[in-house]
Amino acid sequence: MYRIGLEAFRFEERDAPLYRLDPRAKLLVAFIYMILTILANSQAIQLLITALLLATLLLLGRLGRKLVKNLVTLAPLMTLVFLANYLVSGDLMASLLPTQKLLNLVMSLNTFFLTTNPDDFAITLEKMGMPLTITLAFSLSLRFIHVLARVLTEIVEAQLSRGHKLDSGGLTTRIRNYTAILIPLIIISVRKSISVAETLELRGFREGARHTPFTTMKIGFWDVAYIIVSISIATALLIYGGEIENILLEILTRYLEDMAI
Amino acid sequence: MQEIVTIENLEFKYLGAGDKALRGIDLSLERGRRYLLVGASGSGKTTLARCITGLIPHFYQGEYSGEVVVDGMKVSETPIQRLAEAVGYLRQNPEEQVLMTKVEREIAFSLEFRGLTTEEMERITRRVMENLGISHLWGRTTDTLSGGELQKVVIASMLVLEPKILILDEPSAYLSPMAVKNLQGLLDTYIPSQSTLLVIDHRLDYWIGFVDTVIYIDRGVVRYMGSPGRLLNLLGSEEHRLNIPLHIRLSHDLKQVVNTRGVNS
Amino acid sequence: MIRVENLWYTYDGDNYVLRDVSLEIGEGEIYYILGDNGSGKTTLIRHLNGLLKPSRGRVLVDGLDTRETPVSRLAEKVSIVFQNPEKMFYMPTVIEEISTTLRNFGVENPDQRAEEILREYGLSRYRDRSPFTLSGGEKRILSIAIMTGWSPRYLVLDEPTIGLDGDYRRRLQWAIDRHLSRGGSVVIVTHDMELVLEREGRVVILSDGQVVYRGYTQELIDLDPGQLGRYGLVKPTYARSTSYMKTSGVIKDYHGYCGVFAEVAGVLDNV
Ligand SMILES: Nc1ncnc2c1ncn2[C@@H]1O[C@H](COP(=O)(O)OP(=O)(O)OP(=O)(O)O)[C@@H](O)[C@H]1O
Ligand SMILES: Nc1ncnc2c1ncn2[C@@H]1O[C@H](COP(=O)(O)OP(=O)(O)OP(=O)(O)O)[C@@H](O)[C@H]1O
Ligand SMILES: [Mg+2]
Ligand SMILES: [Mg+2]
Repeated sequence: MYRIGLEAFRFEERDAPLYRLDPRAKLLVAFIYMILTILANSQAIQLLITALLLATLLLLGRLGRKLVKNLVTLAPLMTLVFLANYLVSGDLMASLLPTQKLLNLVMSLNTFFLTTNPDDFAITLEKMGMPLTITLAFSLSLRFIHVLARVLTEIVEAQLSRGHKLDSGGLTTRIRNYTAILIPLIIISVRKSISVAETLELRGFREGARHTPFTTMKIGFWDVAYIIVSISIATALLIYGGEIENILLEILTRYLEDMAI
Repeated sequence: MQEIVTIENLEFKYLGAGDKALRGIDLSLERGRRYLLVGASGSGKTTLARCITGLIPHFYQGEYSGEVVVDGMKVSETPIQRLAEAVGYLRQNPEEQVLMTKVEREIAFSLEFRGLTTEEMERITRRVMENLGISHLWGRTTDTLSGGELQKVVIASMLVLEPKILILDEPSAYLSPMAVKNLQGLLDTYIPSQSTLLVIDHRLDYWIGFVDTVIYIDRGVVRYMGSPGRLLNLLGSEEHRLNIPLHIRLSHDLKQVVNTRGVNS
Repeated sequence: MIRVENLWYTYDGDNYVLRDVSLEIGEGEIYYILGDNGSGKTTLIRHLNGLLKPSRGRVLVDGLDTRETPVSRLAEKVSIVFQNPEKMFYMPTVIEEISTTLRNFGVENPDQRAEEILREYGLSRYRDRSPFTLSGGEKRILSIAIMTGWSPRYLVLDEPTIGLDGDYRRRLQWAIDRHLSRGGSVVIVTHDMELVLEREGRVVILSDGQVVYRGYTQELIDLDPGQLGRYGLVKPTYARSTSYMKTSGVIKDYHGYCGVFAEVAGVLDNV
């Protein structure tokens, strides 16, 4: 249970097509989907986007289990957005739209962040002309999520083994037991950030130093294909949005009628 | 110049600590030699390593006196990055020195600042990974490795450096005995012959056959510096907290039996 | 008794890190789990108090299935000292670090007992220090001191000798002996062959997540170096010399360090 929180948002290596694509291609496509999501103001189109993103994540990324964790963690937030809108507008369908947008935005980001190693991402940024100090800061802070996830697991395991009951007991015992996790987590995080600073110097990093990034990435056939397919879908949706919506609605209503019969 | 490191009357007390961790260290390390630094837990080995790398006094606060000179640079007045060009330092806790998420980038991190081409870096990295038997870790993230796998990765990131002095604080920790043997072979090939090696380790049995000189420190002062054999003889007769290899302990224990029996009969 | 039955485990759903491992840890036994880096030793022992749940197979601790029993319940029986001691500290001082755990397990007079434990492990000097500022070896012996303070039935140590000097090592040995003499069982994961050879005990070697060898420490002495090498192990000089003593008839059989010492001393007596 305690593992879900952080792990749901963290990159884990896996052998799947989406993981092998160039980070730049993935980033571009994630942006395309985000723009689409923001622009589309119809529930049906949003549903279509959700379906496309799901297909990408499940088929190309084989991310089923992770996605479930991810969405379970986000469920409270989405419910909140839905309820808030519903309370304000009083319209069920209208409140659905912002919730769908949130869902699609998260899933677009997932196609990039869940499948891209932070180090590769940093290199992508560097190739796009960002200074090393910034890209390094970026990859170090992304890595911090990994470090925290690992440290948290180890701390929880150590404290459980020391007899801290984290799942039972009265309120005071629970609070006391949670401090047994929070305190080392805070201390170790602070110490980690100090040791990162030390290590950067020990390993010869200097601001403005000449730097050759280690991995050369090349845009390949599949990257281009991935981009072109996504752009085509996006253009189609933007230009023929109305028609597509009508067709979708028709299919939906027929489906619903069938169900009713 | 023969010496790569000279330390004169070095004293250090950590901020808030009761006692001094180092109480007047005088020491010089020569180029091209291999040293093993031994001593009880808390005797100041890691503290001494921190003084050579510049972490003390640049990062750790406390009372510092005396002088440390590394490769002609006065440590207290030289930024760590400058010192890092001469010194490679494997920290006692490998987790403290990981910067990157990807294994191969972690190993190549320092190389990225040396003006090599990407192909050269990749070749060097592949070779060292192969030599350490960790080729299968290429592409893995550094946060899900086993203890020994992580230790090998951080060691690999040191081996590619070719520093003038390499300090390894407990390199044998987490490693299987075979991996230690393998590491020793690699130190022979990777470390240039004019470089100095300083190994800090509690496992005398692994290292006494490998080094030229043993330095024994006790509560912050150097008690012995010389050949490994003489240290073992010296220790036969006095109180100490070192890990004497079992076969040597057996012969010491038996000698004692013979001696007492001899007196009795 | 801890029974590990046909245990399989995978972290990512694809690669199995443990493959069909079965073990039986009886009362009063000492078990050494050896194997090369990454062979799955740490993963295996994290199953012993239910921190990890088997992907397939099961683990029974005194008949309790770890999948159905809360970790806090199992932790009373199985005490695990982890490879990285730092992750367990959270109190401002060393003494409190020990006494809270005693309290967690309902030990009587925890404060007084904590003081005794400090003395037993040679840590009295550090009584009021923050555990985070200790040196490497001091941290490790403290983590051992914390986890042996009450009387768990099973003591599990993951690479306990890393960073220990001779004195702390003797104290560790003493703690293991005391635990065994009280009828407890000990499981030690280690790369330290000298530690393994000091006592008689059972040995399991893992390779790639599978058990590839089962036997006793005394058999390791005579095992073929090539075979050991495949599992990342090297015979220390001590093993080679005792093996030699055995073939040349100086000692009859290998019974740990004390056994060899007694036998050889006996031989010297007769000379
Ligand atoms: N950050 C710190 N703050 C305060 N005291 C410290 C700190 N680090 C170490 N000490 C203390 O300084 C002394 C020397 O520690 P050091 O880490 O150098 O020992 P060591 O010889 O490396 O021991 P080990 O073999 O256990 O690693 C010890 O008594 C230790 O408790
Ligand atoms: N959280 C994790 N996620 C994915 N893989 C992991 C994780 N933890 C460990 N592994 C992998 O599982 C394998 C077994 O790891 P484990 O830590 O059990 O090895 P070990 O036998 O204890 O090795 P060592 O002697 O190096 O400590 C290794 O290949 C390791 O990379
Ligand atoms: Mg140290
Ligand atoms: Mg391990």
